[in-house]
Amino acid sequence: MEVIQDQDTQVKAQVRNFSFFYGKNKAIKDVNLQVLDCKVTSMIGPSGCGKTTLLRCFNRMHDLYPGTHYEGEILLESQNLLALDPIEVRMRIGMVFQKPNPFPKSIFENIAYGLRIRGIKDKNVINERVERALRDAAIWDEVKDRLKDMAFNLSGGQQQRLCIARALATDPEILLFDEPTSALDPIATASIEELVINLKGKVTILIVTHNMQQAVRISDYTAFMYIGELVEFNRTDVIFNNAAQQRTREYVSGQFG
Amino acid sequence: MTTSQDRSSRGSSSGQSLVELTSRFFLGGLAFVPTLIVLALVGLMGYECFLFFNEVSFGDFLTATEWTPQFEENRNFGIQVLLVSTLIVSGIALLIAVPIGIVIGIYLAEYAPSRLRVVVKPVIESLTGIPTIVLGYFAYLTISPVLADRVLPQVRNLIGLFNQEFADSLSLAPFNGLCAGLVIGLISVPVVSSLVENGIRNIPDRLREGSAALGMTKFETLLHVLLPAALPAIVGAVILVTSRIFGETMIAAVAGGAETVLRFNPLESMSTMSAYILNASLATPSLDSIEFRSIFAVGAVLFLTTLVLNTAGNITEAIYRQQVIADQVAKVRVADNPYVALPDIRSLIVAGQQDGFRQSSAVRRSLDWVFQGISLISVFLVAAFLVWMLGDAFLKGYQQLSWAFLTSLPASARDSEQLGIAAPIVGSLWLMAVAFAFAVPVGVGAGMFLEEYLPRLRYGWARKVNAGIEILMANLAAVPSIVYGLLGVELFVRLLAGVTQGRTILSGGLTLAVVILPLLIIATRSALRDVPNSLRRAGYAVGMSSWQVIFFVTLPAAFPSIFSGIILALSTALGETSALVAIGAKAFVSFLPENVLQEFMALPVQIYFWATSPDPVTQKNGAATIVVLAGILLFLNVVALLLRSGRSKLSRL
Ligand SMILES: Nc1ncnc2c1ncn2[C@@H]1O[C@H](COP(=O)(O)OP(=O)(O)OP(=O)(O)O)[C@@H](O)[C@H]1O
Ligand SMILES: [Mg+2]
Repeated sequence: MEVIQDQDTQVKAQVRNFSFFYGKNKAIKDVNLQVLDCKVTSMIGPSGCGKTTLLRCFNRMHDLYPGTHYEGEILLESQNLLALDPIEVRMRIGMVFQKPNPFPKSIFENIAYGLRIRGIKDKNVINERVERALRDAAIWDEVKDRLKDMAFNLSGGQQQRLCIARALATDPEILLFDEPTSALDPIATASIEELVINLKGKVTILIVTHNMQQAVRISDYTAFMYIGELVEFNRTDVIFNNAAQQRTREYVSGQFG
Repeated sequence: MTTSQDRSSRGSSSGQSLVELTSRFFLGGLAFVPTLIVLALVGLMGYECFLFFNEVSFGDFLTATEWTPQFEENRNFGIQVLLVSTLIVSGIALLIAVPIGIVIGIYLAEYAPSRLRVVVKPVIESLTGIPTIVLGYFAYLTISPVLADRVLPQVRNLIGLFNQEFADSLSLAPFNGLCAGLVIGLISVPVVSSLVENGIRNIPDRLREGSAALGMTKFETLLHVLLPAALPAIVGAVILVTSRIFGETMIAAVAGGAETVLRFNPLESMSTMSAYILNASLATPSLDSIEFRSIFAVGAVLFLTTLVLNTAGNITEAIYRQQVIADQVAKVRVADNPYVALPDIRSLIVAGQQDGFRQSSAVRRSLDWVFQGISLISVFLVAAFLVWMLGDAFLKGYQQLSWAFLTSLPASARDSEQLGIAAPIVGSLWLMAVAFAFAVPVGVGAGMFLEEYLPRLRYGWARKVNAGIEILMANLAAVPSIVYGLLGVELFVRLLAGVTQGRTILSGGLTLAVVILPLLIIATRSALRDVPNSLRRAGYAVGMSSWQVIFFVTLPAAFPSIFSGIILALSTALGETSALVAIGAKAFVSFLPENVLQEFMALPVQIYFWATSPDPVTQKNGAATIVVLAGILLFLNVVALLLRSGRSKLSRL
């Protein structure tokens, strides 16, 4: 597999000869992939091809369920994160899910929670962090007067931005997004896309999307997957205009999938 | 050709709508029965209370500090006496049931490996299937002596190190509130644990994943995310179990004793409200005496308390669902310049705790292990209690077991060597037959109406009626059975004496029918609710009318779980003691009943009379009877379990 080289960027994470199994079912087959530092990388492919599965390997989410196992390695900088303590991995890699999942707490506590567990006790630091995260997630103006309200009372789009703020507050090295806008209307979607673009250069982002336009709009690199395999990985403009593989060209032009 | 077909189809559809109407009205009538029961309960109790308070002033009832209905001179009815005992016994029970129940519920929902769970859960829940008379017997005959002879001396030694005088003053009466409370608490564990487990299981995995993704350990997720989310369920469980504990009768009566004295020391005998009702009913006072009426006054207090607790449970749950769970929210300062550079959080963390994540996450994760350890100890405690109890009854009773024991009548009330349990076995069979003849059609029919017809009435009033009935049903199921016993005495033994001939099988069976009716309705409703709507739609799609869909599609599909509900109701009825004691089941009859208008004995009541006998042989016979009853109940529960697991396999297809 061809290795992408950009002069000005470093590799943040590297997937090497990696396979993943649900029981005996091999859902990810011998994938090699580079995730470049502070860039947005999107993963596309037909439903069931393993995008979510691969994404959830990065923060060891599969460890929550019995009967799954990994083969190969995923290097985070120089460490194989499959050999680390999953809790430590999740401390460094944040995630935003397809459906918003705020905690049954106040808006404020939803965000402060991750900070407290990281040993931050200073109230002022927590307050500042919460505010900064809410501003970064473009939801501060809507919630600043109701921080004590239950998070459940927010709209779906607001909840999703709250979840993004929750992930941002802990300053993750990599942020994983699994179809974060699939449950949202176009306006909420636009605000989240803008947010992702604004985060470029600050944090490494890996995003799964079904929406090709979205991949084009927000991502620097794109990985195309098909039935558990990585078919092609390149700069987004190359994948969408000048892909090397026949299947990639067919998929991005809407001929199957 | 076509016209005749048209006509015939029109004819049959008008015939069908007649069936439709009939079935709707018939089932609707059955659904009205629970309301009638409530009206009868409130009306008859209110009437007896009215008569009672004609003689006893309400002020005295509340303020007097003695309860002495038996004295001719200076009768006192100070409810405080019974209330304090009830609160003490219930308090002890809650101290056991709530923490152990919550821990086990959490463990089963979040930690237990599935192989362990399939073993632990039925073991814990089988505690609820054991008739409370059996447990009361065990508390009095086994636990109380063990506490007095083994545990108390140790406690005395320990306390003696600090205060010898106090240590010497400690002594445990054979009947005592402590034992009653302990055992009531232990058997209430499954009530709490299964409600808590369900509450936590109902939380979607999204929340667990969201928390894990932030780097939380399992225990942190539990503490900060799952428990707050499950809080309504937990609060509901605590309130519900409180009301159960308040109404628990047989254990309190057998182990707690009958002394109606105002006391605060649980080491002494104390009579709870329900125990008083039972003991006073046993004395069978004349139906017009003040003593008889005092039973109803106490019954009314008990009824109202459980009603208030249940309603409070519902309301709390509703409020908690909406309300902000109080978080200590620090006031967030609106910074003048929002984009001032903040220190990097990673450097903050590293500065704060030099050793970084690795060690701290090991420390944090150790809490998971601590919690699992505590859970396993709790599970072990409950299981050990169960094994001890069953083993104890078996060891004491198995020598008495013989074919003759099962089939012979007692030769006389005195000669305990020749006692046989044929009469109570046949009595129990008769009671079951009567109870089921009434309760199954009414319960299943009412459940069908409430689940299949009522929701479709879309007018505002129907929706309110539906909500009201839901609450009514939950409340009816929570009424202590001793209160139904009082209803039975007043309604079947007294008012309908012309039909029932007084304290007969018919009265007893009808009373049991009232006890199990709410269980049957609830079981039917939930069975019907589990039938997927697609099945109903398929029925309508092929042109069935609603009664046809209900009788030919929905009901058969729901039948296995309805049937398992019926079997569980059967086992409840079979173990029911207090209501039958109140109705006046006999301690001894010398014949096998041949029709429903005769006096009767029943298995659990027999256990009650024999257990409290001072004669060791009679006590052994009691233990043997327990083995028989437990055997029958075990069989019934296994059948119900198989039916349920068979159904869940089906629904997975
Ligand atoms: N929990 C699971 N257990 C077993 N197999 C699973 C599980 N989750 C997913 N799979 C299987 O793994 C494969 C990849 O699924 P995955 O959810 O990663 O696909 P996806 O690309 O995210 O699809 P979509 O675009 O529909 O979200 C599928 O064949 C799916 O059936
Ligand atoms: Mg997916």
